[in-house]
Amino acid sequence: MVEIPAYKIVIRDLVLTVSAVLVSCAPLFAHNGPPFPVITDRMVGNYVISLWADPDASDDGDKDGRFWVVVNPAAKGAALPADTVVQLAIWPVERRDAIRMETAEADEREPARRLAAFAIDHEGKYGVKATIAGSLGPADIESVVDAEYDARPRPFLIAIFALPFMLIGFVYLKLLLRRRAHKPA
Amino acid sequence: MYVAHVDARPVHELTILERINGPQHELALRLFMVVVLAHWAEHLLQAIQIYALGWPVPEARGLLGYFYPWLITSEVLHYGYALVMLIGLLLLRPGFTCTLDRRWWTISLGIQFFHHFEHLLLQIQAITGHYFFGRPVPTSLIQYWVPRVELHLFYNTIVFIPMAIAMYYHVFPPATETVRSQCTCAWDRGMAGTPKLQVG
Repeated sequence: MVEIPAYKIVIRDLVLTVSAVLVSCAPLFAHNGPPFPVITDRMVGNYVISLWADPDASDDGDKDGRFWVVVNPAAKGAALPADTVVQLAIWPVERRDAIRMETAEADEREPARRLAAFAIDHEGKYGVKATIAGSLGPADIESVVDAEYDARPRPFLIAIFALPFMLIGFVYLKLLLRRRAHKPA
Repeated sequence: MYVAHVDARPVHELTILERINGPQHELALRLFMVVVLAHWAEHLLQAIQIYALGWPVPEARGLLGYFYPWLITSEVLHYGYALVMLIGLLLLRPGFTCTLDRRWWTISLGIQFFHHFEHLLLQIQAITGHYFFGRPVPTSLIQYWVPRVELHLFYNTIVFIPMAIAMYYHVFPPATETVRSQCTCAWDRGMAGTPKLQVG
């Protein structure tokens, strides 16, 4: 057996732990992933509105750019009137005239939850606006989202993808060298 | 040859579980690593296709996705791999008999188990239509704190790190370890090394 001083083990554990924390935090900055909140519980008119987005671009015309509006009456305990209509509009920020609109469909199990999907044919910043109409009155919210292809990894993720090869490569290379060095004559 | 002297029975009399955690632990672990690294290679290849080869993003689907495009968007592939990881971590754990390697392998197994618990929660939400935290889509617990995290990558990373640490301690057990493993994985016991197994 090889004697390894205790302080070396502590240092190695520390380095490995810090690396683990850094590596596991890195993907948090990736775009890929689930729908994310753009606006959360904003009080507008007689409503409390949240806007969620999963603005994926696609080349084949699929409606991969999805937006959810969760709209509830501002008055506690009140039900959302059945005549509430939510319209969603998106446009590339550099071309406001290329606006497209969709009526957001209500979820059959939860009418406060509305979904609209758009075909987004290129990456970039898009304006998004939700307009609410109904017996509780009008309201609207607006924001900007970044549309990207769902499959596009951030460049720095290449380091994360390569890390397993470096770690396992290190273990097996060290193993190979150590065994060779101690190979019986 | 792979040799284990702890169990007096011949290799062919051992159960599969005993073999892969004893005389064939080294081989099983290497095969498991091939599967794990193949998965990472797919991610790496996809990034290379985009950034080094300049392929359009929708065309950059790694190797499997190149031949079977539907696979890359399939949840079955991602979940299937997560399942393979869980089974591999579970089956090969008994072979990690020292303190440090077993601890780190168990951490990895625990995280992977929690990963599956998250899948279960997502499935329950999808079936019932009641989504956690008032969200418009099925949401995992991690996403409550980190809304934009890409779970597949996140879990695979945090499962892999302790697994790699466990591997290191398994192959290079510190001198402070009093219990020796029953397999040939340690550097001084493998194919090229002297098979000087000790017990106790």
